[in-house]
Amino acid sequence: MDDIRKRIGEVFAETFRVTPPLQDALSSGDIHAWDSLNHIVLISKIEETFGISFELDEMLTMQSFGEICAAVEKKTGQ
Amino acid sequence: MLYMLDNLVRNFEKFPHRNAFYIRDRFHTYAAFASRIASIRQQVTNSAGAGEQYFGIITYDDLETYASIYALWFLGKAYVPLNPDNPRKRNMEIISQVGIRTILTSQVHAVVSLLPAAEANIVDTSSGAGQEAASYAGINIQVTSTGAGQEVAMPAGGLKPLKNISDDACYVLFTSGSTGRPKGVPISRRNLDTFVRAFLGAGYALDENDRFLQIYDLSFDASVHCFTVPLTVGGCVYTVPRDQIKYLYAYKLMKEQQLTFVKMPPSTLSYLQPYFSSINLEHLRYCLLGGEAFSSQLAERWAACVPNAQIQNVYGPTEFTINSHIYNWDSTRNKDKSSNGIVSIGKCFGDTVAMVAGKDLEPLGDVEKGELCLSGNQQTRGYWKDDDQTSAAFFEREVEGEVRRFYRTGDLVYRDGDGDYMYIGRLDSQVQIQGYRVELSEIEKHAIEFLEGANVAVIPRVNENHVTELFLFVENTSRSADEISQHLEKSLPAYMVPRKVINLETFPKSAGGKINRTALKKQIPLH
Repeated sequence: MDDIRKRIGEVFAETFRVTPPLQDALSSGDIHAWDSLNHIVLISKIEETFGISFELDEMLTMQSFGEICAAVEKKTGQ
Repeated sequence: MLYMLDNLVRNFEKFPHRNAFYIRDRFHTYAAFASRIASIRQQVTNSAGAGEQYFGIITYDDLETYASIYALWFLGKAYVPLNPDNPRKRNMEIISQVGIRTILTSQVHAVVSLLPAAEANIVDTSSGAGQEAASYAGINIQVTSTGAGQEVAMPAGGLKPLKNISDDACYVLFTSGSTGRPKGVPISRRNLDTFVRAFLGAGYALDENDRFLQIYDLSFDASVHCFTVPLTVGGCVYTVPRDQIKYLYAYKLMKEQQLTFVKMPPSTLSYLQPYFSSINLEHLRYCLLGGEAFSSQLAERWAACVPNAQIQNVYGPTEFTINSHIYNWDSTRNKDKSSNGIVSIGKCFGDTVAMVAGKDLEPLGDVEKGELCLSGNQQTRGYWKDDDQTSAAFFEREVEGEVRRFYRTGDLVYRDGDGDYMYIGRLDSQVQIQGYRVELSEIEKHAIEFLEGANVAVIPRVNENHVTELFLFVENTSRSADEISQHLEKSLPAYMVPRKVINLETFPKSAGGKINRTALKKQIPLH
């Protein structure tokens, strides 16, 4: 589980120039560069990293760092 | 009288308990909206200087922000949106260009960071703060938010607009300017009222049962469409807060709130495209796409997601009040009505007269390619205090025995045999990013300034999702890409900041020594 957070944190760092550790509540309102286009980049990098792919309905609940981690944990069964 | 304000007043009386807004999971009724307008109007009357016409509004996602716009309109005044996400420098530039003395805001705390050295008066439109007014560095700040339970009663006799139709401005929006400074476009009450009336006269069946999407930032004129039309017919406006991932939030609203009318930039659809197979929005009746070229392939695929909706491609520059052209998308005619894979922009509506002009600005015939020029009551009188730009963009021509004033859109089009207009591209270096107009040279000017004269070029590229992205090439600089990006973020709105900075030792040049932009485009990395 910590490994998942660490790896997602790395994807965030690479996409948004932020430095982990990241707060669960961190959302698009807190990061200037986190717009629709970068969200797509972020999600596809995460999908690639974990070899998973999200449905639209799952995406609706993935708005913050914590929610994204939780969704990946659920998806990968950890 | 002003059609849209008269109808709003009628809706206050007819539907006080119906919802006017849905903002961050909360509904607000027409009565609540009327009451906020009345109280902010009072505040403005008490605090503004005599003859003050232009007011800044810091645009948050709340009822007070929308009520502030209407309070000013009821008083015959104009608003100038100040986006709190914009770099301070850009907002200050707008404040000083217009000479704004009073700013309305629902969140007074934000003002201090937004306007450290501003010289205006701030009006607090929040209800909690009571009606305190503050002065910050000479600017009158009016805070417009109301504390819980502090609703102000409607004035006896209801809300009556103070002024009728006129050529006084009702908003001033700033668009990207090729000179490096944002360009102000004042829109009059007559311009906007003409648009609302013409749009509603274009064959829509809309009433108080309709639910409308408002996805646009208030500094973009499509936003005005997305709240004036609903409030004129008595419907409800569902807003997308600016701190959300817009395309996801908009989809959520469309699905869960069963929206019936949406207008959005085509890029919203591009983002949703990978998920189209799981989308079925059967309540949607009208789906308007505008602000960017709309791909006919995208239209075809999206149509399956919105089985009961009329898909429309809408077109129009800020200078001509929101939209001049509408095309009713039709799958059976899709191939004939697209040019280079871009859906037709259709025909103009209302009192608009369109003309395709050649280099000499004389009208061209059908299928001849030229610049789209527009004339009619939706046309702005000209750029804010900029006679040079105004005289370059407007001209007079006799059409059918009448001398008319035309606006040059800078868009290259042709008209087909049915009278439908087909969009080909821009005549200059302007591009559309997420619905916003961006002058590449404006970005380049800021980069050159930072790099002290180095060669730079901003190159747009449409990615695999049909979304336009910008890349900044710089020639032989010792500055890092991050430093350059950070500098641009301080001066430009987020959508104008290039996605990547690419440093090259030398730029490819043409024989004449000019930067070869086509060659640069080939050097954009794939990922």
